Amino acid sequence: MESQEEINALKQGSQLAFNQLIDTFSSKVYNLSFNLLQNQEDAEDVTQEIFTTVFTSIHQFKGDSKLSTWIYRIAVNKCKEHFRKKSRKKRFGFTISIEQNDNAENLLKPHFEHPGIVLENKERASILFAAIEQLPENQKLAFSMHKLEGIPYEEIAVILETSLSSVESLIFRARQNLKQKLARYYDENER
Amino acid sequence: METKKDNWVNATLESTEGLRPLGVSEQLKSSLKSIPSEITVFDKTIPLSAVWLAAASIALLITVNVVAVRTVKKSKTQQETTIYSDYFSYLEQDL
Repeated sequence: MESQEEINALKQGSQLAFNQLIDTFSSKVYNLSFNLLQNQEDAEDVTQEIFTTVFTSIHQFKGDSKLSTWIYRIAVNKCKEHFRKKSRKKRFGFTISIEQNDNAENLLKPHFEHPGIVLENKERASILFAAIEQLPENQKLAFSMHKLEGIPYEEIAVILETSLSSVESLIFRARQNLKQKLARYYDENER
Repeated sequence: METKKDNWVNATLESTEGLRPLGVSEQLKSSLKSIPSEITVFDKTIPLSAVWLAAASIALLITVNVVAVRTVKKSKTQQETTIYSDYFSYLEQDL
């Protein structure tokens, strides 16, 4: 799906080429959205938005990067938009005291069970996903793309429009943050 | 004790190993494939005649404004001259 002919067909609005694009990339895009948003309905909605943007903006694709990287970039931006919408809703939706808020933000509340996790790891993975959700946005994106999707550092750098060293640093800091959060969770619950 | 905690933290960090990618439902796939038929792509090129029409309108607007400003200035100068000549007219009568 990376050949110039196929890309040209996409640019001309070919339904056949678009169907092929869906067959090739829908699973990757859906899994990325699902792992980042941790919700099936949201992932389906965002996947729709991503492919709508791909269809309407394909004429802007200049071939500077791989088509898959360009689609991933759109996916990441759509997920970022979704995080922001969600955090805006949270900010305006609840009125809680500052003291309560501080405590609530530090607590890990495992709520998400990924259907693709092996049975013996389900509980631990649920805790890990809760910790990932609390990471700063770019750390969350870089860590999830590498750890859950297996995307190499170089491609993540292109997707996030940053340098390779920044990606390495983001993933290193994400691991450190996760270790701290998990250690705190262990002290409060597992001991 | 610390080792137990460290082991737990490391095992939790690695708990997504062997994560199975999820399949996309047929319903989602078919709704994704129907995107092209649901979207009307508008032709984004602007016809040349419309560009000329816009340029002519702007030129006309500028011309009208320049003429209006000049006319107002001219009439103001004429008015001032009349006032001055009226004011000094009594001197001419006395002489």
